[in-house]
Amino acid sequence: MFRFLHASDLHLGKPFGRHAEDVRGRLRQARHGALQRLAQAAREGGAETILLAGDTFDQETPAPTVTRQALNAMAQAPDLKWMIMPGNHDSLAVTELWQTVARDKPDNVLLLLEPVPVIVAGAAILAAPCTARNPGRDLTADMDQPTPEGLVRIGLGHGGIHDFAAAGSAAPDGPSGIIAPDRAAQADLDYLGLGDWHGQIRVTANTWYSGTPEPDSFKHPQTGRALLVEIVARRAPPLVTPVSVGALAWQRVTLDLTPGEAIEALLGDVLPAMALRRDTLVELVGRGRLGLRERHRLQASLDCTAPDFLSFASDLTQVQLAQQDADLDGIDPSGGALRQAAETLTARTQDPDLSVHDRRIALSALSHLFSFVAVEDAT
Amino acid sequence: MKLRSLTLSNVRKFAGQTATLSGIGDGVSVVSEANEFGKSTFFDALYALFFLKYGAATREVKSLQPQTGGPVRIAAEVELPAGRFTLEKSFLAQKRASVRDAGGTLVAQDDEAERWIAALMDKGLEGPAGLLWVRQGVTALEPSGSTGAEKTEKEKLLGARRDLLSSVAGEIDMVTGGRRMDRVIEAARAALAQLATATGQPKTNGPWKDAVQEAEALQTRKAELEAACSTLTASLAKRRQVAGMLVTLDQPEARKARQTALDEAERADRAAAAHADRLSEMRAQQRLAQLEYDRSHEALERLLKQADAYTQAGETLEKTRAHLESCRTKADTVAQRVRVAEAELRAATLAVTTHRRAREAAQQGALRRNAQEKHDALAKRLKDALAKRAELEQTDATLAALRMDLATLDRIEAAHERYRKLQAEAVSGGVRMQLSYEGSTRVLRNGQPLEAETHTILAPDMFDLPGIGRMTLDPGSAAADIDKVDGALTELNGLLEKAGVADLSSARAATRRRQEVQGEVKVLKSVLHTLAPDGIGAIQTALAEAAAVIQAHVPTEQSGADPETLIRDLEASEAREAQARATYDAAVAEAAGAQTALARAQAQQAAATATFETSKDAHGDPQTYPARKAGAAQTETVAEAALAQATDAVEVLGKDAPDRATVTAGLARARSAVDNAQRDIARLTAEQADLNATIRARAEDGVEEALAEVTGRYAIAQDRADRFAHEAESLALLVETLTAKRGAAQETYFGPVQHELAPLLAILHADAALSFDPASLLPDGLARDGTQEKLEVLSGGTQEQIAILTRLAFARLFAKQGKPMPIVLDDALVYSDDDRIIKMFTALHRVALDQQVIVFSCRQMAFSGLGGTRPTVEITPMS
Repeated sequence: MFRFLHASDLHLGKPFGRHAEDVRGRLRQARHGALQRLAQAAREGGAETILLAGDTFDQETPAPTVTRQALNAMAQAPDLKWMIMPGNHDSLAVTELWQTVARDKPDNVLLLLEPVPVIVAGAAILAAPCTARNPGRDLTADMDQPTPEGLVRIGLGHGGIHDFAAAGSAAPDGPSGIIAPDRAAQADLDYLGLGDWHGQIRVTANTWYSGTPEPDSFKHPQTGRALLVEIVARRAPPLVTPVSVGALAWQRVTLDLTPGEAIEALLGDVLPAMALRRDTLVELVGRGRLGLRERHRLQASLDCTAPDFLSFASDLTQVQLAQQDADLDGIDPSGGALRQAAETLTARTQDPDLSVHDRRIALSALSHLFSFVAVEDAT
Repeated sequence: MKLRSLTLSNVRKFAGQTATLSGIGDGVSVVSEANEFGKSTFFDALYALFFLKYGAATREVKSLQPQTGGPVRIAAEVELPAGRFTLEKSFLAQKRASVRDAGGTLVAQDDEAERWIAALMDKGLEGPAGLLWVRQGVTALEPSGSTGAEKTEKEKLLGARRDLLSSVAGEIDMVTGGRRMDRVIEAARAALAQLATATGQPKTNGPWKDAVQEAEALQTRKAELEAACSTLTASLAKRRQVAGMLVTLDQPEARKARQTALDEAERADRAAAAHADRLSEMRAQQRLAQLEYDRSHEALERLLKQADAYTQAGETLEKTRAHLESCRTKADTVAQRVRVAEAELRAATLAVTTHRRAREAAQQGALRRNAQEKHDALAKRLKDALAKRAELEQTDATLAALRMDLATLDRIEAAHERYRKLQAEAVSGGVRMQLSYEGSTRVLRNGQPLEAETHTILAPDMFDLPGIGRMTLDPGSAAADIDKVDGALTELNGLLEKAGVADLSSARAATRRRQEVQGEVKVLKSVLHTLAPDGIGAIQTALAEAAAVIQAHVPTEQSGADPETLIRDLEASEAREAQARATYDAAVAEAAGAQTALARAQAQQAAATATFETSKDAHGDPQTYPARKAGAAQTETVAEAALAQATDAVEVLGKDAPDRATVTAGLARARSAVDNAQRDIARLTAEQADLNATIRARAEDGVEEALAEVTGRYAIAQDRADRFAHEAESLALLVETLTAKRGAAQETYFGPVQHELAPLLAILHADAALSFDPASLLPDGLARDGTQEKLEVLSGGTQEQIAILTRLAFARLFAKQGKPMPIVLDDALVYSDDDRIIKMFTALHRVALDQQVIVFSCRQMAFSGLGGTRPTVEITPMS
């Protein structure tokens, strides 16, 4: 029996420059913490080996602190064996990185830098390390090489498979590439662990993408995951168990809005519970139509809610203006100059002859007008 | 409302008196009196009657009271649509108010009367009437002081204007948005000002500018990091390349292969050098054999040539000797032919000379004969010419005597014709007297008897009738002008006498004769010209020349010989001479050639002799020649065999010799391969070290990670800057929209008063327009001649005029609303010049078409042009 933890795409050292400084710090911290959580998951699952199927590092030349601290974290788990294979982000072409890692690595870290079988704990690991960022060929083609009889054959690859749908994947939008989807069968593998796709995908019964243990974008709604794999014997179907190891959640929320919407209730339904918000990044996109006053209220609610989250971004540019006389009456019920200005701006927001930009400018101007009038009336 | 009269009792200077202003008209009424008359008293009293409470004891009321004290009473008669009413107020000592109708019936009293009057004035000072009072020296549109009272009045006036405009254009706040709109615009402007400058650019130290600057700084940093990453990537790629090259170069197999190649090349080079030495030595031997052979061959050749030269020189000498003899013989023969030809030439030349002389003699004779013939002909022509010249001279003399020419004849014929015409006229006008006699007695005229015929009496004439007496006949008026007839006759006779003829027929005959003589002269001249075209002198000269020729050519025996014979003889002798000369010349030329050939043959013979002697010396003894020849031939054969042997040896060595250049190039290549490899290894090693250092430095800097981070941060900053730009643009649009709408609303609001003001303003300033301040509802600027000026910077006169015109405009608005109110001016227009005052009068009259205007002024002269009604003032003691 061979039991191990399959993970990939840690992308250690990813800078997250598009986020605010404090968010960046937490994101990087969570990414580094994934090593510890992987170790914990392996121990809890009874695995002694952790296979990292590429992109352990985000950059070809990560800062020395990144590599050193990653290796230190692995050294902190001496009961486990870390087997690291280069991916496309940290390919073999980056000799400096792998020279550094090879020089500094602790004894429980094994580098899979050659496409040759590596024997470990009763299994033969057939790695297909990325030779370059874009190798241009199916590196897993070399996995059909022989291994000692009776050893479980584990393949480890990185990249997209060329026909996801044909492979029966549940992710039709999965990565497209050049790895043969039936590589496991062709190479007589008991399990093919893949990396590169940050979402977890079952390609076949014995071919899996582990997904990233710590997501880095809103593209994959899942929390960070890994796979606990148990193979009891040669050619026995693997027992694959997804395990959750992520610290932070990335959640994309879409609000479909209509005039008269109960905005606060709607937000309460779509946003995560308060206890989770500190560890959640939210990207909210509004769609549909709202009146001026409702839009103002929604914006105020969003502004009020935003600090609950690790990161909260909202985009209401797709929310169209629903013209409501009550809104205009709120600005100027008498039909005087203020009302006329509001009507002019409202007309601009819906003028098909204007560009999208100009219509959005008009909507912002109208929103400002509403705000200023509200402040004026409040005082 | 229209004011008809005003009565003041015990007011200021009218203490104890009643002053009544009456006769106030519908349009302009002017009270123009000197200072101290009390105009302002009337104005203030009118103001008090309408706007001050009867129970008031304010400073304004007390100022109306004279020094002597007592009640102040003011009454006015007004005309309303309901009829005439008398309003009366007593202040201070007797506080009372009343309103009575035209019949004297009390309509209202005291407080009721106050309310009646206030309603009439539409809320008193707060109402529209308050707008229509212009006090002495007012130039501003509203009170400018800052006291509480002035502020109150200002606010009241503003309220009045607002009421008026609101009543015609709507509530101003409703229309323009009022203060709410102002504050919203201010808030939008303030928000915009935090972001952008007035020109729409990011404001320094503002959040937008900060975001832009941050984005720019990050963009710069990003570019730097991209360059660093690019360098790193390039360095990594280069290092891979260098490492690959080093591996290739430094492999032991590669090193061994390079060394083996070098060893083989050097071995080949050494072998090639040895072979080259052997070949070089053999070539030297070949060159020696060649020299040996050449020398023996030359000796034999020289010997053979000397023998040939000796033989040939002997033969040549013999030939030249024979040739010389032949040349001598020929030279003698030719010399003999020259002598024969020379004799023949001399004989022929003598014959030619003889024949030429004979021919010249014959030619002389012919010339003399010709000269003689010419001389004879000339002599005859001279004789004929002389005769004709004498005849011509005679005829010219005859012609000179004939004076009657055609012109003279024309004059005579003309005179004759005039005479004939005059005479005919006289005869036709005269008295015809026909005489016929029966006896001898004859009528006498001038003692001469008259024939029995018809006589024409042209002039009074007397006739003697013998035995009877004397008869005088007078043709009277029919008598001809005898003087003219006589004059014509005298002229005719004069011409005839001058021409030397008796009458006209003689004149004509004389003319014909002259013409005939003229023809003879012409013929003679022609003949003479034919005979002597160049004159008689020329003939005489030619005659003398012919005589000289005759004399010069004396006849000889041969003068008479036949010239043709002589010519033929001469030609024959000349042909002979030519033939003889040709023969002679040919002989002479041939002799010269023979002499030349002889000289040349002599020279050849001398040269051949010398050559023969030389070759004889070179040839040596002919006896030993065969032995010498055989020895030289043997030597040459031996040398030739040695040469062939050496040549074969060189050929064999040369054929086997390696290409030295190829061997050398191969050695150079092998050496350079080794050297280059060593050099490349050193260079690549150094380069690899440099790249390692660069890569290590970059990697330690974490430039890729930094670039990814900065790229993200740049995107955030740019996004933030874009949001601020969006914010600024939307705020600018909001400000622009609000301002435009407020402006349009204000334009709507002030439209009515602008409409009333425009024609009045045009009287003073063509094409001028006033702008209004929405806060004060009063003009705040004047636009004219394309420039906008604030009112406060205009002259006092212009400000004063605009203040009055504005009130007039408001008054017209009142009138149009059915509330016509009197406009009262007290010593207004104090700053206006004469021209402007006249224009203002026009404006006042324009407004007064449906509005009562009452003007108080002390400027009697200036306001004399205002026109209008002149109310009267009557002052009487109080009853």
